[in-house]
Amino acid sequence: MSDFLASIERRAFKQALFAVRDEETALDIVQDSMLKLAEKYGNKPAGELPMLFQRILQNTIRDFYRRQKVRSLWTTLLSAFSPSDDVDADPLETLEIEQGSYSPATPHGNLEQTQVLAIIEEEVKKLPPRQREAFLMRYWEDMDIAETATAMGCSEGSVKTHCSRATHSLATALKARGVEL
Amino acid sequence: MNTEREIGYKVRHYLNLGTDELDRGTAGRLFEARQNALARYKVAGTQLSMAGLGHISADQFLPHVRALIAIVGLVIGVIGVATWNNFQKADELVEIDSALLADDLPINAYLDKGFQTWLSERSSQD
Repeated sequence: MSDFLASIERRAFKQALFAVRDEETALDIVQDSMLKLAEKYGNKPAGELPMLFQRILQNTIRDFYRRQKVRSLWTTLLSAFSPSDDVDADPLETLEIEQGSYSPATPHGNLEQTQVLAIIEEEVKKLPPRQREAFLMRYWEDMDIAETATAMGCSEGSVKTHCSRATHSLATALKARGVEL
Repeated sequence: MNTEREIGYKVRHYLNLGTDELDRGTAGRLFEARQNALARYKVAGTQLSMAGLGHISADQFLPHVRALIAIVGLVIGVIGVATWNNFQKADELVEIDSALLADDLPINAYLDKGFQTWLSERSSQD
C-alpha cells in the first residue's frame, strides 16, 4: 500500500489540480482519496488498487464539483440581496493572479521544455472533464480500456471515444500554439 | 490509432516532468497525506484481523456448543421421562394401597391360605 500510494500521489495531485484548479483543494482531494482507499479497500489485491484509486479520485473530484455548485448557487442568491462594497473591484484581476500562481517556475532546466510543459498542462486543464479523465487514465496511469471503463463507470466504447476526442483536441490546440509533439 | 497513442505517450512524458517539478511544500503535504492514509490502513487492518479472529473462534466453537446443547437436552429429557414414570408407578401403588386399606375385608384375610383357596375355588366355579 505504501509503495502504491508513493507511486501515484504526485500524478493524483496533478490530476486533481487539472480538474479543480486550486492547489489546496487538490491536496484535500488526494488526501481524502488516499484515506478512502486505505480504509475501505486496503485488503484488495495490489493489481486492483490503481483502478480503485482512480475511481475514488474521480468521485471525490465530482463531489467537489457538486459542493461548489451548491455553494456558488447560495453565493449568487446572497450577493443578489446584499449591495457590493467595492464597486470598482474587477473579478478578472483575482482570476489572473490565481492562474498565474500555477504556472511552473523556471529557476532551473530547459526553458523551452518548461514552456512546453506549461502549455500542455494548460491545454489538459481545458479538456472537458470526462475526456481528461479518460485520457489521463489511459496514457498517464497506463490503465487499459477495460480498467478505465470500470473506473469511469462507462462502456469501453465511451472510453475510446473520449480518448480519441481528447487526443485530437490536444493535438490541435498544441499545434495552434506552436507546439509540435 | 498509432498517432493517438504516440501523442498520448508524448504528453505523458511532459506531464511526468511536471510531477518531478513539484515544490517542496506540496511534496511534503502529499507525504503527510500518505502517512495519514497508511496510519488509517493499519488501524483498519488490525480491526479486520481482530474481526477475522473472532470469526474463526466462533466458527471453531459453534458446532461444539451446538452438540453440547443437544446432549444436555437429551439427558434432561431422559431424566424427565424416568422421573415421570416413577411418579406414575408410585401413584398406582398408592391407589392399590388405599383401595386395600379402605376395603371391608381386613388385610390379614389376604395372608390366610384358606381364604386364598376359597377365592380360587369361587372364581373357578364362576
